Amino acid sequence: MPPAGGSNQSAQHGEVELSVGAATAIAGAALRATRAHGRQDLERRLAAAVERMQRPDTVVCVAGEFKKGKSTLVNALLGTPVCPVDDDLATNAVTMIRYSSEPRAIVHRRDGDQLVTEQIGPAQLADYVTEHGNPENRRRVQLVEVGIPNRLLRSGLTLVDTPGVGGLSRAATRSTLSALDMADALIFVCDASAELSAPELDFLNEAVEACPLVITVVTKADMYPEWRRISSLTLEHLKSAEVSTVVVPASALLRIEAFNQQDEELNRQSGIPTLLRLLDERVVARKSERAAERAVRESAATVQQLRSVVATELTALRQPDGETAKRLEAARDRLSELSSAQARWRQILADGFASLSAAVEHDLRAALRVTATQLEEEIGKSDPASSWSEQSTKLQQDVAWHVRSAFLQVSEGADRIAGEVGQVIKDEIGFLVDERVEDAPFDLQSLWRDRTPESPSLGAQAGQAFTALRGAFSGVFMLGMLASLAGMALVSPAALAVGAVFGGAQVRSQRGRLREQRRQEAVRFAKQFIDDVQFEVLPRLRELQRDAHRELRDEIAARLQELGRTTQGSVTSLERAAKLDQDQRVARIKLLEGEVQRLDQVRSRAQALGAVS
Amino acid sequence: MTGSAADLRKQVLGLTDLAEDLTRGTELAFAAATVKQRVSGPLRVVIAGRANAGKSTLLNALLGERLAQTDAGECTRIFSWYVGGMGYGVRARLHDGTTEDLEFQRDQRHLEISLGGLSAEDVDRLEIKCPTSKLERLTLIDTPGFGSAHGGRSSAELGNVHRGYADAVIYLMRHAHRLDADFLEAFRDPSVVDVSPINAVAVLSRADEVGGARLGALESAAAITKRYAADPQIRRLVFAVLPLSGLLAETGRTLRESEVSQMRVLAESDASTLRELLTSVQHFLASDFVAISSEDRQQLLLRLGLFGVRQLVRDIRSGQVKSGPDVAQRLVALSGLHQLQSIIDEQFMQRADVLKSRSGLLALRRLARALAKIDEARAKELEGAVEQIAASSHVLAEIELLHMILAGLVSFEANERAEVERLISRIEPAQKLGLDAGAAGEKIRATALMGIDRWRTRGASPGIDRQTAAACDIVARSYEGIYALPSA
Repeated sequence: MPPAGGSNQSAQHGEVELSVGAATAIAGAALRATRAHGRQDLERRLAAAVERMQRPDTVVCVAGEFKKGKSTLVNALLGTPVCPVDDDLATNAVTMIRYSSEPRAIVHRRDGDQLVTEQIGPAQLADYVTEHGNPENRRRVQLVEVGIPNRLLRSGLTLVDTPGVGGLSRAATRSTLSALDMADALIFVCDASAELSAPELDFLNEAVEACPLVITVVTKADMYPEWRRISSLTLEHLKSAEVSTVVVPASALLRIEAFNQQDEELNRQSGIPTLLRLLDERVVARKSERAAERAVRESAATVQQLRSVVATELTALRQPDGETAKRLEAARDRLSELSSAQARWRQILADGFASLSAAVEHDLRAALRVTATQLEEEIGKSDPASSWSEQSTKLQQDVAWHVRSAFLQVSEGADRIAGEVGQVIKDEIGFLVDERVEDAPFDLQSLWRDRTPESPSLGAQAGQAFTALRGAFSGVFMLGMLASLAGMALVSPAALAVGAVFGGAQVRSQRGRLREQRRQEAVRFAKQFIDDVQFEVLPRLRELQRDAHRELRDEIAARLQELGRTTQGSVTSLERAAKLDQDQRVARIKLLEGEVQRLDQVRSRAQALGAVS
Repeated sequence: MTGSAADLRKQVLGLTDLAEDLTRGTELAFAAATVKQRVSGPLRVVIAGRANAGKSTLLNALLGERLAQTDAGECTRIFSWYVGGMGYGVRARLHDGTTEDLEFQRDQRHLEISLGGLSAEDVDRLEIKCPTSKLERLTLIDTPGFGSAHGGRSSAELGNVHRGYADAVIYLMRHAHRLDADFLEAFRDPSVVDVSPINAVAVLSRADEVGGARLGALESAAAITKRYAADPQIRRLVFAVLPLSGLLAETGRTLRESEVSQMRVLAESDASTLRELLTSVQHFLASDFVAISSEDRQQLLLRLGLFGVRQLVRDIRSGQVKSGPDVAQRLVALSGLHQLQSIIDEQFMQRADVLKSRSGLLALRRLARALAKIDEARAKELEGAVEQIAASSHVLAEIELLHMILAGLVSFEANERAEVERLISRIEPAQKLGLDAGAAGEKIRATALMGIDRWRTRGASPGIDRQTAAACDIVARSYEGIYALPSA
């Protein structure tokens, strides 16, 4: 089942490969150089960049209505049953599946007012993510991370299985949408039982705004004789609504049969190979390309640090002067001061996050208060018996929007702080060291959010692969939280009470005698909901900021240490130069000139790729 | 006591005469005539649900004829009323109240209706006349189904047009999450207001597709409906949830001999061929199985679905079904249609008078409110008459109480609730009291007397709220009614 039109963004596979290949070559050259210079710190940094290129961090969200076969599709993509599948009761928590060398599962949930992270056995998964094992999400699971040693995931892909939401236009699904901009792609799942419905179309319409790539998968093609007609009707709806997406009919069952019977034709018919190819070409390859650009930049910056050590020694050998030594020693001392616990940038960083935290909380509370007040006014002017359905939808929608804004505010705030602190450090060390040395080190904005899921530098150090959630993962987290809130809003006792009072259109005919009671109930419910949201969201926001703060701090400290070692290296080479006699000096100059040339070559190759100025 | 449900209906019919008088010459005259028609006409049962839920398929199954279009795509975009008559006929009723007869053709698949020069937007509804005894006391209404990507009128708009047309509702829903907003929304479908758990039933349609259409799909579907039915939130909305395979029901009711013989040929194939064929739709259609042409195989799938084919193959091979009528009966029995049919008979048809009266009174109240904007005095007169009848009828009070209890608006203990539900919804006095069918009159009178006593005491207990006290009074009066029965 080949994908049917819809999008014209054909993947330029060849070009991407070339760029990743070239970047790998340059990073390899830079790695050899760092090794030759005995700089393990820089080596680690480059290794991480190479890793990122080979396994770019990509997040693919799987969403769709209830009982469309999302979990079954995820299992078919992975080729192994990871997500629990049931005839009746289904997934009710966001599940994030990514690579790990050992199978593992970690649950993030609320316990009282604590956020708990606990490791569970992979077999226990169903107890946490299904309606059966965890009815009405009583365990208050916000997110489950599953790690498995899987070939598909080795490419750095993270699949996010979301709970199905019915009537996609409703508020609960708006929550999914508001978190979608963290995903690199969306797999929208509908099935071949019927053509796309209006709520599904509405959802897709908005999803393409939020997400760069949307793939529509028509599942269960194996049980509906008219799957072909249904798929083309669905495609027509998408075309006339100008929704840019690819439509792939698929069948998990045919994929399994194809494996059992070793039947290539069946495999093709299952649509899964098409889907895998789309993910590889349009998602992973694109991310690799971006990671490649960054790897080239990092290679150039690393080489530049090595070069500055060599260049300093070379200058000293050609024209010995005491000034350079003094300048370098001062720079080294300054860097060591900057690395100390009392350094000013640490204070600036801490202050930045403190005020960010205060601002985010204040803004969120204020926004929610305004929402509550406005809703209260509206309720006072209307009869909830007829207007509540609309009002409660709007309430959830508004709240999801404000929560999303708060998360964005943290993310943007952290970027801004990174920029400010980077500038402060640049100012302090700029006059001390060679201008070109700090090409990249303090371009911090992109650092804290762009990390491989299991990068050797961090994973190995921390001793655990799944530590704090970063960048895109905070988006996944937000999704999990909003999904659990949406569920809560519908099942909380308050909602049930509202349901009882608004129990049916019948109530409307009871001559308004209950209207005031209904209004009070509605207001009480809205307030309770907003309280619950704050209770769930604020700790998570604080945690996110704590993580961002810690990571930025460690990142800056590591960069300062690198610079410190570079400067120390220069100082040592000066001392060595001073001890040489004339002959040794000439030989050394020749050697170093060769080295500078080699390093410059790496740098100009990087420049030639256009990633470095 | 103010008499039976039939008496009540006569009174309400009298009210509609009054309403016609009071609205004469106003823009509401047409609305009043509509209410009158409604109260005097057959019970109207609406089949509601999202697009593609299987509404037309169920309709065909209930009629035992393939009339409504049932393509997998959506096509029913206009309300279609299926009414009894001497022959077939199709008439369009336009928004302005005028009617127009339409051309139509009957083929094996459905009734092909030509709108002629009309556009779907002009048409309020189609009235499709069919010569069948099933429609003598019942009108079945097929709705356009909301949530269609084809656009057209929204469910809210449809609701305004068709406000209050239904006396009872069958909600069709696909397998839905209990928190599925859409599921809950289905019950707020504005096209069928005045719905209450007393006259609404939910149907898990397309039950044969649950869990990949494998054998055992219907058992899964039954388990799902059981879970729904135990859910207090759902109990508040409907009095029963049933699994149904509309496709099997429709095909069972309209099965052709050629289809039966094809199924026999299929079932007689050897086991390994069958295993291969029945793996998936692709296997079934792509196979070079020559005994049945690929067109016929396609048709079989469309008529029976993958589940139906799998199930029938098994039943024929095991010898459980042999003849054509066997197969047809088996399909209908599997489909769950019998259970739905008996709910329609017992809960809707037998209560037709009280359901009609109830929906008629609600419509008259609305009419009175609308009239108040034109002529307050006349509106007062109508409202007064409506309220007098509404307040004095015990059958109506009972049905309202049942509504309140089922909808969770009156807080009774679980055992009280069960007692009152039984008391009101059963027909025979002994059943009402939870006694054996053959219970003696003496026993019935004694039990009823105890009931009166118990509920009078309950209603007079201190601290009871007014609503509950009123409810207790109704229950006590129901017991009084049984006590006073001549047969008791």
